[in-house]
Amino acid sequence: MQTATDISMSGLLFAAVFILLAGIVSLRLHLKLEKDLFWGTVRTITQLFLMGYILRFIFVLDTWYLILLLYVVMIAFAASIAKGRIKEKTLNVFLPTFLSMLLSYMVVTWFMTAVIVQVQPWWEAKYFIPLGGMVIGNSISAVAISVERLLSDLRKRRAEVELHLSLGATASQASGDFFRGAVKAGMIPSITAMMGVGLVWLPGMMTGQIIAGSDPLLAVRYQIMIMLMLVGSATIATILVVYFVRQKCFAADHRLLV
Amino acid sequence: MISIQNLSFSYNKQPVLHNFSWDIPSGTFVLLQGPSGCGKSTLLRLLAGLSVPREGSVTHNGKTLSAESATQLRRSVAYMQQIPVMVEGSIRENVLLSFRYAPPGTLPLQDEKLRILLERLHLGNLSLDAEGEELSVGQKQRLTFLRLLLMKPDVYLLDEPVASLDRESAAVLMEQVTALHRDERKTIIFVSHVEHTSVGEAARRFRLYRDHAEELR
Repeated sequence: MQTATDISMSGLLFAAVFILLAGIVSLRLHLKLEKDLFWGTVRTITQLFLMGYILRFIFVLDTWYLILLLYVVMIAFAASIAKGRIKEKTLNVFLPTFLSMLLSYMVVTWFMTAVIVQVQPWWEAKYFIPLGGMVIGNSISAVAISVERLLSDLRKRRAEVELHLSLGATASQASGDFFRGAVKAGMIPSITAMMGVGLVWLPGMMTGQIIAGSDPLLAVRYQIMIMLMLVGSATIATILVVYFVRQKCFAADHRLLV
Repeated sequence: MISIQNLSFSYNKQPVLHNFSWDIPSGTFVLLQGPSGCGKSTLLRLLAGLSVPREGSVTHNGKTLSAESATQLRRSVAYMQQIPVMVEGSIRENVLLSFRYAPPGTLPLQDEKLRILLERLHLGNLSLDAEGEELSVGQKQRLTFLRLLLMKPDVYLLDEPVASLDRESAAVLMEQVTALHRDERKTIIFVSHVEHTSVGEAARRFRLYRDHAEELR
């Protein structure tokens, strides 16, 4: 099996030319994106190199608890990114978001490495971290969208929720429609992604494997697994997060709090 | 009997009611008046168990709102919001919504019975299958009132029920409310910012202040 051609540091610098181009456009059109472009570039470079070094380190150590710890830290970052995307700030949604992501991503990633790929041992960093990372990266928005939807629906349609409550509904009965709507909103993007994959875009993992010299058909199998598991992780994560966040929106006496 | 003891409530740190106490004996017909923003709607929400006081208490026949009592308590206290709220679906579904959360064994009304009730509210011309969302405000208000009637509550909390209604709708609704008090001895708290609301002789008029309600003679 051949390996990927090395990218030299000077070669990488050429990629930065396009960032410069974007910067010039932003300046000329007064888009005020220069700062974000700068910090985005800096963060991309440092975060990825940092991850690279951490992975090298963990590959060498090869201990299950360090691998899982790294995964938990990655999920915590994902939860704080998701929280940042949610406009509602009065309610602290970090903990419910983190817990639902942790539960669903752990289960889904374990399933991929242990049951589908059957890696021995299932926590082997080379598989667990990249596969888990893809699961996280692709369902942050699912989680954010579903929470955002739930909170804005409860707010906008407060009168309707309170109508049900005043007719004797429990909190979960009164918000049943909103619960379903929020879960659905979170699930749709991963289903839409299945429609376009292969036709409109080649996913990152598949591209990477092909460049690294894998048989494209093996890369395809991995990608199919990823796409299917993304639907699963988005589903589990959104159901959990919507459930936990809804608990925070109502008092024990079934009163709407948001 | 509704008993409010030393209740305080504020909206965004703006006190609305402060150290407010009031006892309302069962079977009283209260016409509650006062300028807009004086806390009438807030008081109704507190009585309906949709808000809780920051301090003090609200009890209905000795019971306060709790995790265990909440759903049952709210069913015994019918609350009509200022703007009538309809759910997606037919008129039948909208009216029968009162049975959705009823104790097990409660049978919903048959169509014939429902039509008689609609007739009484001068809504006999409506089809039960028509969409609830497409009606006029007056029609919606009367339907939401019917929804509450079917719940057979002890107390009716009506927030400006006739404020946005045409004359006919208002008269029909007033007649029904008066009958509830006269024939069934229900407690009624009828909020209105209009001084001259014609509720008849039966009602006792009160004016709401921050810390008490004063009866007007």
